[in-house]
Amino acid sequence: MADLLLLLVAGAFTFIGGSQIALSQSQYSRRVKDEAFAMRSSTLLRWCGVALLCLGFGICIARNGFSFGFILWLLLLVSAFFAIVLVLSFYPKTLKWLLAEWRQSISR
Amino acid sequence: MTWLHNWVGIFIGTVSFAVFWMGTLTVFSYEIDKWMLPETRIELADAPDPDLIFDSIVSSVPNDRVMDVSFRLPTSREPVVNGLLFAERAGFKRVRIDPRTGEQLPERGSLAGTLFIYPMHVTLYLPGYWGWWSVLFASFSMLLLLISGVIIHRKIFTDFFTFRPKRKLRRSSLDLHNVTGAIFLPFHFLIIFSGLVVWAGFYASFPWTLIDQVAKTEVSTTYDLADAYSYYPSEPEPAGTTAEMLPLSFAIARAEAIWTDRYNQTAKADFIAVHNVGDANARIDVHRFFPKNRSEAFRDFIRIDGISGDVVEDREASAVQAVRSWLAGFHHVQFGFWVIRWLYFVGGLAGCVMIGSGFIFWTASRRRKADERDPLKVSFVTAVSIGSTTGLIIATGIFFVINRLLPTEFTFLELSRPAIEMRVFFAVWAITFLHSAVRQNNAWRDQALAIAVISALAIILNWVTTGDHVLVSISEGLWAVAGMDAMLALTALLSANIALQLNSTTDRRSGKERTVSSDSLIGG
Repeated sequence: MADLLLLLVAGAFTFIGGSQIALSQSQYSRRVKDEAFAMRSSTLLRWCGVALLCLGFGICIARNGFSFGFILWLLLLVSAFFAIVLVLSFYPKTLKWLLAEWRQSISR
Repeated sequence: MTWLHNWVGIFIGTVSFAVFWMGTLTVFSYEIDKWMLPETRIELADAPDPDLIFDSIVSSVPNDRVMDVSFRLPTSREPVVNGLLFAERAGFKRVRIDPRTGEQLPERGSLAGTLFIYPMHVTLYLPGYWGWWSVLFASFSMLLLLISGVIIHRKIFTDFFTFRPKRKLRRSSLDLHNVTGAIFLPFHFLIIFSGLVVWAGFYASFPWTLIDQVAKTEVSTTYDLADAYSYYPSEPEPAGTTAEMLPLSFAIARAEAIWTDRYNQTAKADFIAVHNVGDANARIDVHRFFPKNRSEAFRDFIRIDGISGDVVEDREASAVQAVRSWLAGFHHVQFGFWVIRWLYFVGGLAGCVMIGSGFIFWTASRRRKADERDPLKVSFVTAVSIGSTTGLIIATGIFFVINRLLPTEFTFLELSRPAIEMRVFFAVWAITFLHSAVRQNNAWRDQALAIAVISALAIILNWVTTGDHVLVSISEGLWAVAGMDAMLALTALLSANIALQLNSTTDRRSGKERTVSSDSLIGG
């Protein structure tokens, strides 16, 4: 059960991180929110996404060791990225909360 | 590079799709076994007794002298023991044992997942070594295709997450091809590469087996080459005098204690092989093929003297063998954690989608021009594309259906039930190629509809012949059967949806054709 919970947390970090990397590109952020995106914000969003991916990787490695954790993370990464493609293609507005929260913090 | 990518893809697509599709199903080969062999839907024995299993296997040939016995200890995925023995008169014989009682189960009525789908993934059931070479060639070609695909993809980073399903088929199929190719690239690269490494021992002997094949001589596999990165225990010679063997449970406990001490964690043996049964030179090989939640395979092996109980051989893997073990573990997906198997399944399906969408894009982007210039070429590739993809899925579905339709002891023209299932599979697959050649693009819709009907039929037949519909399976904890039914239901729904969409596209096209001029269905 603990394995499953940690996998879910790592999966969530990977999905959110990947989404942030995707949304840092204007062609995807426009699908979610019809506004232009400042260069500085997109760079920060991208690095935030990379940090979350690293966090997911760290959880997998810390729990399962490198040889098995790497496989786990690799599978999570490709599955999460594919899920992001599907969400961006069919239900892009569901990612609006990610961008909205981010833009508020940037504007403050 | 684009030319290379296109033509290698077209040339090798059929074999690659078959290998990917069968590999994807192999992820759940034991679960498919449980679905196709209802007598194996038993509960896992609380504490399986290896000596009871061993005695049951030996007693399956009562008036014969058993020399070698091997079996895998029962697991939750494979609760029935599939043993193999070699006896003086009977030769090699497979025996199935219920580990709870030691009772021998009737002969296997189907090759099912582990003995048909998995070998199909490795050899395609082609005669001699042609299948191995074809898969080897396809694997190298796939690596080449993955690399060339990255090079020719002009906007790999900007279009990394781009899939536009509502655009014309040519555009959306290319998007799907790019997305599955780019996102799953590390997984696909590693799974193909690890597959090559797993069978490197065989491939290393490629020139010699080729000579044997052509000259029709004995196989001269050169283990010397393979030993560099793998390990093959030697066959012990019999002493020729009888002796009382020690219990297998003692040998297993001894090996497990050594591993537990070595790795500082509880280690369980999973495979036992006994050589020279009842002989003064009896040997008990204890293996740990697939450690739980570790990416390792075929690494731990201890040979114990079957009479004295002394450790005769304790294998310590070299650095190269350890790397090979990691890659083999990655490829074989025998980890205890079920979530990972589903992720592998998704990755495998993504590979199938990548190959299938590549086929669709190729035909879609050439059909309009080819209608005027070279219609035969595109018609041929269209037929091959459809037969290779949806045709293979239909054949697999029929394999499940025929398994539930045939009575257990059924034979026909001296063909056993498993042999009939296999022949039906290949016959149906061949028919789908003919159908695709005749119906061309309309075959996509026909075959999608056929997949939907066959999948639904398989679920109903499983219910009728075993009584285990999804609710019963879930209530009785038969997750393998429930999962299989659920996947068939999902396949039926998806295929029916695709068939309906293709039908409406064809209707629109027919209406357009009446008023304007002829246009292709997917050339758009």
